[in-house]
Amino acid sequence: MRPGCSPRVLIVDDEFDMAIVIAEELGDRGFRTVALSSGREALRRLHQDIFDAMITDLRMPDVDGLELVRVSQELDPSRPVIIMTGHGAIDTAVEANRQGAYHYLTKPFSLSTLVHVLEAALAETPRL
Amino acid sequence: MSPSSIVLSIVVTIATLGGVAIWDDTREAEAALDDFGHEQGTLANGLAAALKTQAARSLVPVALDAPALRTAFAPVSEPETVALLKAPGQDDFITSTGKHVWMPALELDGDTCWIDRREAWPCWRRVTAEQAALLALPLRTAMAGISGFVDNDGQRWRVAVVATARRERDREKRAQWRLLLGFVLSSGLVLAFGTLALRMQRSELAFARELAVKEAVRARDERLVRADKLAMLGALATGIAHEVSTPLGVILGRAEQLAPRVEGDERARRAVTSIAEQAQRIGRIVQAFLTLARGGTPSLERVAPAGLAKVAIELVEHRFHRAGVGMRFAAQHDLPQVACDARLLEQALVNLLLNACDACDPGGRVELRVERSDDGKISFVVVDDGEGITQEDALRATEPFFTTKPEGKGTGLGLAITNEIVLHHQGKLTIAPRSSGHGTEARIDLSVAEKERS
Repeated sequence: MRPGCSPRVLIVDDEFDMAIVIAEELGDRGFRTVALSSGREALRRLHQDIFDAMITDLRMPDVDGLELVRVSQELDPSRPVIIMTGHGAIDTAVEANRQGAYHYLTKPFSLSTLVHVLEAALAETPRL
Repeated sequence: MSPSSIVLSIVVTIATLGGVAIWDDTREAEAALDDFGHEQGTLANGLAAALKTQAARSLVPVALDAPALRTAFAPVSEPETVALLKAPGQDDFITSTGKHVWMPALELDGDTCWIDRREAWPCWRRVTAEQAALLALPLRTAMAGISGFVDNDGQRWRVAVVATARRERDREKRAQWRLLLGFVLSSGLVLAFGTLALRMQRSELAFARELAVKEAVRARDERLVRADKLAMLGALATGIAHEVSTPLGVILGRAEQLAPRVEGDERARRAVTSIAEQAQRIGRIVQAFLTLARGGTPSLERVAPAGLAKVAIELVEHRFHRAGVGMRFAAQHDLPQVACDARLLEQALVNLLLNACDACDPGGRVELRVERSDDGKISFVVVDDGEGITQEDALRATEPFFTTKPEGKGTGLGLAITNEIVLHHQGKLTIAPRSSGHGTEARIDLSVAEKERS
């Protein structure tokens, strides 16, 4: 990945450890990342900052992943969103996909899978 | 016995009683009348003998008439009895009261019933009520004893004694009353017992019906409770799945990040790989339970049963080691494959093995056998020599949240989940006290995979 052009990725999970693991992994692979543990905070950052992709948990106490998908689609329909979901929320994940999420991953997943999906998503969506 | 057959029995019994009573009464009455006739015949014979003596004593022929008759008859002072005498050549009888009566009913064949003949048996005839009235007797059937004698001149005298069969009638009436009483009493008894039987049967029926209703209610309640527990199980599984998956994701991610950093240190590399694998394994199990709780079907693959059992043993070995419980494994050779979801079935075996381990004191032994049963199924049998289980608890063992373990030790879900897993494989889970010695035997019977079946 060319430096300077490294994509900015917003990572949201109310389990902050999870967000951190992903952020570190993506950081190692040359992405610029913002890791957040609150859906509400993520909503604010979506309005303020520019992100090339978003990776978000689905179930969160304040603002959930579905809402983030909806807002992200409103602000930037071409921005890929990857949903992470625990077992037991597959139907919601499918709903998120329908609303425009690029893909969903069922926890626990391997980080390399996530990176693979993210790169595919960025490659498929032409950025301005 | 149905109510209608009880009623029929009552009616038949009473009718039979009545029939027998009437038949017996008729026979008795006839016999009594005959006895009475015999008595009158004997009397007549006696009277004839007396008159013959009287006739023989008078050297000159004397007319035997009413007074003579009365004198001869005097010793016999039966009430309502009349003596009759018919002189030779006469048509009418003369009675002891001096009346002349014509009574053809008392005529007998010329040669019968003479006391002069040795065969003079008592003879008797029945006298109708009208004829009895002619003799100033009550208007009732009477019995006539008939006899006769031949005087010195060779003349034939007929003698008769007619008596109202009053005593017999009275006796008969009393007998009839007795009979009636007997009949009524026995019929009453039959009726009473019959009614009692009917009533008992009715109350038994009502009782049986009540029992059936109660049983139905109980069964429905049980189904409701079971449905409730399953719903709870589903909710629980979903909750657990969700809660567990994120930490698992973190563990897996961290292990993955560690892996390139421990290159060169073989032991650390194995540790990191193991962490990642086990985290993934937990994830798969949680996923499988979730599928189960939602009623999904497990994905079936063809698996060698012995290998599957070995994996399950490896998973619990450290627990056995810690608890000081021994483990023995035995598998028959050349067992056919079973169609199963290996992860789920492993889990089912792990649950059974852990239960067995928990049931044993240190030094206890657990055995896992894999064998082909008589009906061709593949059986996984876990036997322990622990505290054992009662028949009652064995039947309830697979109910969700049923546990015999101390508070805080068992969730009551292990066997319920095991049972669900086995049911999903169209198999059968049996928990029972060991047939010999103490301890418990848990057994999973599974069908052989289709193509393997010979």
